[in-house]
Amino acid sequence: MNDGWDRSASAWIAAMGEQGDWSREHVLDPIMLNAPRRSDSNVRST
Amino acid sequence: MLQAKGIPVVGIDPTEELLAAARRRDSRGEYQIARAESLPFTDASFDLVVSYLTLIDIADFRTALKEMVRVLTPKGTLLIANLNSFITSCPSGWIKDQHGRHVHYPVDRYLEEFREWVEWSGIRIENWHRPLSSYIRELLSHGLTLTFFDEPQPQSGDDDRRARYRRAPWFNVMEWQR
Repeated sequence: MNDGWDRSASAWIAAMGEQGDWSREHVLDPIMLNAPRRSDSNVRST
Repeated sequence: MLQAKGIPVVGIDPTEELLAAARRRDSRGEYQIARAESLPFTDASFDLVVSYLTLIDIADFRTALKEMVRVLTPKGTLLIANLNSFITSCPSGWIKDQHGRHVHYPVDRYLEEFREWVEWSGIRIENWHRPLSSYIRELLSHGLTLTFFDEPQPQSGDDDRRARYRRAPWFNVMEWQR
């Protein structure tokens, strides 16, 4: 399936860096990591 | 990040290069090549399924959500971060004036579902726009219960970007319980 990801993967990794981009670092990560009722056992991430 | 909190993680992605990057950063995690539309896991095998900005990348999001629900345990949680639908309705983004000031963020074709190719920083990928109602209807059709919803604001970062983000916020976060 050509959705662009195979060709874009290197640029994506470079753009995200170690902390993710601005919006992940300052907006999404805090709330995702503190979401209520998070299980402490099996986790699957897509 | 979850692994750092002591939560064992299984991650999937259809792109081998991204999986290799995940393995380099998290040697303890289990990362498999797979598509969300066909998860290589048995029914009811996870207490938590996380979709972190993936639904906009998946052409058949209805099958992907069905699969995510299938692998959840009863009372398990589906945690979703997604782009707001008014943002995906106009991927060209902000309208700026002649001085480069951000004037407004346009919305167009909101109630349609359509594919767009988006480009930035050497990245060119396919994204899908759907109205929020498409996602909500599909999640409700699986009998899930919405237990958490937010349109998060920046918790840090420079003032200018925080102010601009509040004018046109990009994300919503939902937790659904099976």
